[in-house]
Amino acid sequence: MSRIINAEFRKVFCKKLVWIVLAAVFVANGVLFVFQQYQERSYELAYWDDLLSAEQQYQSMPFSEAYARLKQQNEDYTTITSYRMLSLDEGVSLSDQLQEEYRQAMERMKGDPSLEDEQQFSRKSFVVSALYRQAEYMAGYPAYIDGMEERARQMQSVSIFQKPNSFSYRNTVKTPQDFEHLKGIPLSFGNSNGFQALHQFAVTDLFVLAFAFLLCIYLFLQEKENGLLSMVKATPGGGARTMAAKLIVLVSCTILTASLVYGGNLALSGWIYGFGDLSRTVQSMSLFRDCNILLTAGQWLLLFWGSKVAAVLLCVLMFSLVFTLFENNKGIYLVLLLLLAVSWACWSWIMPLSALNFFKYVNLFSFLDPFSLFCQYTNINLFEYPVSLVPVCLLSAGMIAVLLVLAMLLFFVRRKGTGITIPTFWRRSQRKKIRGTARLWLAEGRKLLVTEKVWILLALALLVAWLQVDTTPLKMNYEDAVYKQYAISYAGALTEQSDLAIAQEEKKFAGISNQIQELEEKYSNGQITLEEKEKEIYKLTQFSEKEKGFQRFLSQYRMLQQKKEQGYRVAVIDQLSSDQLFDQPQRDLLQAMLYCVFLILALCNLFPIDMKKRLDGLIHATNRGGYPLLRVRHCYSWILAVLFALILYLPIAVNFQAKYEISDWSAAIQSIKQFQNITMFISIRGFVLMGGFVFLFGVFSISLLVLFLSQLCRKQAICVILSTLVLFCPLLLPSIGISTVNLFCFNNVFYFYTSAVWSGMGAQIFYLIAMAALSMALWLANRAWFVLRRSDW
Amino acid sequence: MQLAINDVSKTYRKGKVQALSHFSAQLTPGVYGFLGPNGAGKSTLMNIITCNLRASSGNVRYNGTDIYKLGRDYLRILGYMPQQQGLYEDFTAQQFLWYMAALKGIPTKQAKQKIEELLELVNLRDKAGQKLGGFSGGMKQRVLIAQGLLNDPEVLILDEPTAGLDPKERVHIRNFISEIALDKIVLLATHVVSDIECIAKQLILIKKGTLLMMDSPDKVLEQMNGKVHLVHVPPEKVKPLSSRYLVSNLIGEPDGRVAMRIVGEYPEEASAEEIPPVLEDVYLSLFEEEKAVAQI
Repeated sequence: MSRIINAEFRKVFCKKLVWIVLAAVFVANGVLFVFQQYQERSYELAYWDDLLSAEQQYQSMPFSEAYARLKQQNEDYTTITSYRMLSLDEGVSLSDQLQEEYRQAMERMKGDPSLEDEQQFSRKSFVVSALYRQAEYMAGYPAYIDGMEERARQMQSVSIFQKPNSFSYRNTVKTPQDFEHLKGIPLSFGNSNGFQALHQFAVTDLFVLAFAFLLCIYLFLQEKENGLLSMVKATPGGGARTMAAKLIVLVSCTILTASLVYGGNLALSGWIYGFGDLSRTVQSMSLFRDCNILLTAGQWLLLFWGSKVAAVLLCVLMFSLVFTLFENNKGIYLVLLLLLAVSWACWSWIMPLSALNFFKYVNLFSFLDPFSLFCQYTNINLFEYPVSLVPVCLLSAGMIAVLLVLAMLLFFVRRKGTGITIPTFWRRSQRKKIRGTARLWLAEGRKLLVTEKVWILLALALLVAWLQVDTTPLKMNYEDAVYKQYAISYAGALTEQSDLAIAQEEKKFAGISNQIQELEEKYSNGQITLEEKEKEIYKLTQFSEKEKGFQRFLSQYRMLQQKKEQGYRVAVIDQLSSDQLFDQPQRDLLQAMLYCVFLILALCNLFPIDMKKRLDGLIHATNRGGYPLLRVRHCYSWILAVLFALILYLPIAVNFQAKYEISDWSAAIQSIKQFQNITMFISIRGFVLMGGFVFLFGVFSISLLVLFLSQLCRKQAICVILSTLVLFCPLLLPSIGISTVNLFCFNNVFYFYTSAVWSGMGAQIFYLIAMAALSMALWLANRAWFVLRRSDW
Repeated sequence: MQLAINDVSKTYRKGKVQALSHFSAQLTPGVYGFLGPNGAGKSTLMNIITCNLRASSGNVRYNGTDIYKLGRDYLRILGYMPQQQGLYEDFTAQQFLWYMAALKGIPTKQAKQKIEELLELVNLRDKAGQKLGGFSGGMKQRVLIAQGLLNDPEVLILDEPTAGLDPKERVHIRNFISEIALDKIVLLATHVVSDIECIAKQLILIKKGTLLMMDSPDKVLEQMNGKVHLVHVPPEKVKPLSSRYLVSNLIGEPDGRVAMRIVGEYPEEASAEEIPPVLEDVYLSLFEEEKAVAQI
């Protein structure tokens, strides 16, 4: 038996694809998790350390004291913020109450340094607000639990809940009883972001299930496709023992992978947010208000991890049963799709209190969501009796798992043949009309898209592009916002009026300290009241906060004035927009990597597939199987190169269009600080177009290079490795500071904007010519090799 | 119509490996059967004729013109059926034939008619819409035969065309080849001697890159007259005799003895009787490193 198990392990782990997918799952999952957290919560994460240290501080205090203090602080910060915002508006008169509250708040916060520093004020305000929300929830929780009985009584006065033998009535009676044990439990400070991040990040399920799907293919489908299953089943160990071995391998690999990947999420979430005091009850967090299971935070994390692994395992057992039952791909994929569609429909559309809610919760999608399963108190409607969801789901999941395993064993051992085949009526309909095309470019196109699975790559690229579209609102810090305001106000060409206005603005900033001094003097002379003085000083302080943003704008404006004197037709271009377009090395790296991966995978099998099937001799022995075929393949490689470029780079354009703007495309490129040292007279539009041409010729060269390598290597895997070495690896060099190589490899195709800064436009023009020449050279090389290969085949 | 193979040689590794040595033959319409063991040079010769390989020396001429000079005009009249290889599993049978029609430059209308006819001919009309990945070996063989005939070639190269086919299909294909060979030059490489002994105009026997013999089947068999004998021996004598003589067949007899068909050297056993030779005997005699497996 152990030898059979070893053989089954070998079947899976001798496949390079398994290792590649496994590595990709780990890396992609981790990167996406971190990326999502920083993208969605960048504002909060900026103040996270302060929040965590404040939580610890308040944890050590008695709750009532902490609550009172936080409440007062929150009120004070809210009052001061309201007062300041309203006082900026000249047309608004402040109420006496607000002014009094403001005075008292200022008195209580006297000496607090955050009153002088806007950023510190925002930070403290955020921390206090977050902690106050936690405290308010904890303060209200006992009342929430105690009030359940009263709420149940109130619900029973509504007609739908009045029928004693109905599920609704019985549910209202059961609910308070199920929360009874939570009365008087201790609660403690601690944020729930880490827990929320785990619950909301569902992509991991997809990754792990995709890997498990691959395992099923190698364990259950491979033998059927190669016609080896009947041979295996005709041996003494080829029945139950073989199936048991396959299941052992599948289960152990799934558990290991899922444990590591979900464990990785736990580790990352803990690293980013921290989980706080793990011994506190989960009910301390508002996220778990409706959880009636008494767990500590640490226990919940373990439960989360374990239940995710178990749910994935259940899904995988279901996949493997379908793989065992059906003979071919079509049946397997159809049935799986159908099962998943029905499960999803039940999970999404059945109402929580419906008579059919059993199918909503005893469901794959429900099992994959442990938060909803364990922390959202729900009862299943079993013949009008409310039954707790958790034991029902656990029992059902266990029974389903056992049944699945037994079914697989029985079917595998008992059934003759290799599985259920497609019904006869489907086969009969395959006597099709003879229909097709003898146009080489159409036939070759079909072969490329279907046989070489390029359509999958295109679909994936579209998915990646869609995921990259950023629909979140533009967030910026105060300095950026101020700068942008000035950039928009003075957008366009430099004029005498703008020079004058900016000079006046500069004087205003310079005169702030004098004005404050004047106010102090006036107050001491009794010319103005304290409130008036405070009001004016506050206005000046607010104005002075803008100075950083203004100085940034002023520095840009001075640079533009210099360039104007040198003869360039410059204009004020918002630096945030220009940085978004031209100064994003991380983004450029990611896009370049994605592009190379997709293009290499799409093209690397164009020639090797014929060689693998040993059909290249046959193809070459036809009158269009020579240069005409090569021309068609060249064309398709260029089409794919452009198509992938459009798909993958379109989100950049879409994201830019949605949030940013270049006010004057015809302005000189020197308008942008990054490019101020470029000596060539070229507009921003021209510069972008030039980058476009470099990109176009570059990707043509890349596509021809991959084609050439695929002819040279004859094997897809080797072509992928070589192409990766030539294209992919150099992309990483600039990120470790080696940018000088850009002009000597394909890097410049993707890093044109960053390279142009130091290389100069002359070098870029030379590069453009070199790319064009390289395209020609590679085209000729492909032709030559195509002929040469024949004489040495 | 003539395909002339003029003193063609092919070497590899700078002359160290001689795959084909000074091979010459003049081929006219009819079936030519290529016989030879693995590594004899049959595939090399076929690759040279189909322009997949350049000869190290010599040339191949079609109607007096070098096939490389003819270029695509030659490929237009060439039909090639390679030894069964992988096919594109995702293609259906008709999609594969359409693809080959595109590569052969056959106009769509003509291709449609031809595909219909050929699928009927190879008994795959009902499976036209089925993916090649689901085909048996014999069905794949038939698809390859069909594509070889798409462009109605004048020169048809068939490499093991009947491998994997059942006897009925084999006869069907053999008869078909006979019919079409009236106005085509058909080169048929095979290990199944029965495929060619009835239909081949000439047999070309090739060994280690060298042409051994090129003659009609009758003349080839004549050379073996008096060299094939049948002896009836008790079972215990089978092994010693097998080690001394070249045995082409062993049959168990009802009386417990074994009838051994011995090729070449006259066996000293008294019961040896001379029998008419068949092509298999010729094959064994000429390529005697591989002694026949006894069939009982």
